[in-house]
Amino acid sequence: MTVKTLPRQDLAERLRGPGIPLRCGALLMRLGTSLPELVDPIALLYADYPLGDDNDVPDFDARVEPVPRWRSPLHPSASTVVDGRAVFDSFRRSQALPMFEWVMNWCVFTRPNQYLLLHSAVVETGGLGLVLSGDPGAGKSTLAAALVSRGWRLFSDEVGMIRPGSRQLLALPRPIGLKNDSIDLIRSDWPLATIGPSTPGTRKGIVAHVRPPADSVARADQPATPRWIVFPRFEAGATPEVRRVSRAEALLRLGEQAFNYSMLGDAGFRTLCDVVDGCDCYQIRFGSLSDALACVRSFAEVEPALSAANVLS
Amino acid sequence: MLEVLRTPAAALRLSRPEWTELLGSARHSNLLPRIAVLLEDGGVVQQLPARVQEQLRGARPIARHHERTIRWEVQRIADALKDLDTRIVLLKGAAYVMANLPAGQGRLATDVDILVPRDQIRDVERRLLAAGWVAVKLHAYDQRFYREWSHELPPLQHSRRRSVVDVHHNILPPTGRVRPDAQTLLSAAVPLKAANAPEGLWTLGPEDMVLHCAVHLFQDGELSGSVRDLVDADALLSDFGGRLPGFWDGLTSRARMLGLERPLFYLLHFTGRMLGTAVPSAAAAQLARPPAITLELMDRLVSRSLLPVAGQHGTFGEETARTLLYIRSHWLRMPPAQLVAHLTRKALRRWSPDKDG
Repeated sequence: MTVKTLPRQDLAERLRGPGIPLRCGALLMRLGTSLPELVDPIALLYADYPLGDDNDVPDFDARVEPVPRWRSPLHPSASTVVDGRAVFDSFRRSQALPMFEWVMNWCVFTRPNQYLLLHSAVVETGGLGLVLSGDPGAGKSTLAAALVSRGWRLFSDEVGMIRPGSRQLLALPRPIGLKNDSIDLIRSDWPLATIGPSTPGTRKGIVAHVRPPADSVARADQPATPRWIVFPRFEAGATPEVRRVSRAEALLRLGEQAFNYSMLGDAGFRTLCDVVDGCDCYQIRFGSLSDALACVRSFAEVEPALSAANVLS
Repeated sequence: MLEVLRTPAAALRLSRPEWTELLGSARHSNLLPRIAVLLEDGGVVQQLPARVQEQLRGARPIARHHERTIRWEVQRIADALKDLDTRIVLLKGAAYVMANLPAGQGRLATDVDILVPRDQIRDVERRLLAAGWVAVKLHAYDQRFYREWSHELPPLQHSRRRSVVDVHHNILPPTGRVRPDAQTLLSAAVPLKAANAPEGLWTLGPEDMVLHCAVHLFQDGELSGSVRDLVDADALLSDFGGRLPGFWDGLTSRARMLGLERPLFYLLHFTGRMLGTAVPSAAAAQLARPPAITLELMDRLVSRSLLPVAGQHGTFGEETARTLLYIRSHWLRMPPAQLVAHLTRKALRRWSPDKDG
């Protein structure tokens, strides 16, 4: 059973009540909210997610709830509630959707420390993973979305999970977060993409989310072997450039970007060595999406055998 | 959660929805790694639901990281202060970890608290500043508040590592109702002689370590959400009570000597009541009980506020309990006129644009 099989009324009631348990790769997340304006975006972005068992123990329970008017007299506010307790300051209610995605990210970034958590977008083809790592604004998500539209599987938009001792990346497909110009860019590059409502005025500007393809969500339990590590760098007007990066440099840069590399101590170091060992590592610089794809084409197939399921979802 | 802290085997009887509730409370009380350690030591982990085991596995690295951080930071502090000819006494978590006490296992917290003689505090501060720590509470009122009315310096944070050290000259503020003699604490300190510990550091004596915990909870602190401190106390009492002969008599007479009978009474009362800590009745009987009505009121307030608030906001009862305990903690900390002035300043600051404190 998936979210889209729930009638809208049921979905709204369950979100308002105990929340809905969603299976996403190795994690079980329970989402809830009593904000009616979030029901449609959740129905849209999470349509293909399998529902878990209501009684099962979720990895986290994330909600966005309105703040009572007397506590916030100036403008309507909402706040995030994780595992039944308020976390973080409240925010304007108009920001509820990106904040919901953000608090889920926060849970994913801070909770499952039984895994090494790399801060990266990951896409997969033929069982091989391409890890995109870089600072915010480097173009990770945009490039990932473009590759997914060309037949790659969306593995994860924000986090590469590896269990220490294994060399396998675990999938965690969640909606792809796009900012500002990237939103229209992906709309025109991938006309069939399902994109949620845009929210202006966030700390990052305008934010919108792309629904993960049904096939990516359905195959979330299939791991991948890391094969390419790519450090993208978007620079307006740049001449495209592909530079081989040594594995030692890649290790340091991935470690710096990881959420819990130093927390895991030796285990983190050894796991990251294992990951980097089998990978070719590149830094790519580009000023446009087509240049970025051309850079990737120099070491990997950009359009693997197009499967209808990937593109048409 | 309290039941599992008391008897880890109780974990085997929990339903999945009860686990969901427990994991949430444990995370919000900073106790999940501690519970993971207790369940491992109790040999029950393998029999728990797979999803629960995963979450316990995910919690352990955080505590190991915190322990590693504390060891590293203590070493750096010891280096910075090494040529000062004075006693540097580690307090709370840093002491539990460095002395390898059971209370340090799976404990979350990376701040290091130290106690030094008051006449050395300027030298200690100067050396820490020279070694890269900086003052983070820069508001003039905060600086004055700490330096004149508090028992510690404004927190110092390392400029690169972001770690915080709190330098104390006593365990309670000089403005408070109870003023234990810091010299007595310092002279009863014991040298730290554990594997991997740097030279020249000290910890409080076992009795004083427990009394500091009592003071922190019931004399100085606001009590809200501080079940973690009660868990510390439980671990210290069980450990010392089980292996040090004469510990309980020593503890009660020490409390009397330092004027800390009341906080110790509450500590023994609430660890026993909430965590089932075994306290010999003879020890408890030696302490003066608070009036029945006070104890009744404390029972109600404390049981409502030690655990983190559920939901976005607490129930009316929980919020009231917290407010009353907050007022109580300040009442015990400073004289009424100063209290009014202090709370007014704090309230005004909340509404002013200058929020750097």
